[in-house]
Amino acid sequence: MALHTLNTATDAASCFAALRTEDTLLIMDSAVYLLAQNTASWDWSSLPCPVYVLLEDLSAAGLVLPEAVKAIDYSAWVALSTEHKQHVAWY
Amino acid sequence: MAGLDAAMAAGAFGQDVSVLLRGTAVFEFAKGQCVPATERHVGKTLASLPFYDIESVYVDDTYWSQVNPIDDLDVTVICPAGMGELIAAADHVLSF
Repeated sequence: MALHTLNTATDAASCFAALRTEDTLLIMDSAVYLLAQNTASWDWSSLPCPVYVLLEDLSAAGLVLPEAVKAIDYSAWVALSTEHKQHVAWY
Repeated sequence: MAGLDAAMAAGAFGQDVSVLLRGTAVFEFAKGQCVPATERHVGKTLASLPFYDIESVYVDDTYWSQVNPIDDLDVTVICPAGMGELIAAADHVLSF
């Protein structure tokens, strides 16, 4: 039960492939641009676990939130950290 | 390198440590690396892990086929799904 934080798009493919159903993915920093590229072509709901994006980074990039992704603030991120056994940073 | 230092410290204190190199980090195992005298050689440090009771070293298969690895290397090659399993089996994960 791991919380995966994805900071850059470089590692996205490996990160997505390592996700398990009980995990959670949080997209942040420059990785938020993945949402822009993929809104039309990428099916976020096809990932095996819940997908979140850090609201502050999403807003800073001026992007629209895809339907299958939920935007959260820093407090919610802290809550996610406490709910998961492991944390994996992909950057 | 900071990651290896953390792994070696944990190993020295009797923790059950696994090391995973992912992405381009696997090139640290390439033969013929030339490191300036002022810096530490990551590949050689990796080879010394068994002295710290770290026997489990994994490499991500994304770039591994492009690496010409140093001799007598004892590593397990895993796919991204294997990484997910490895992470799930760990009590703590430190990312560097």
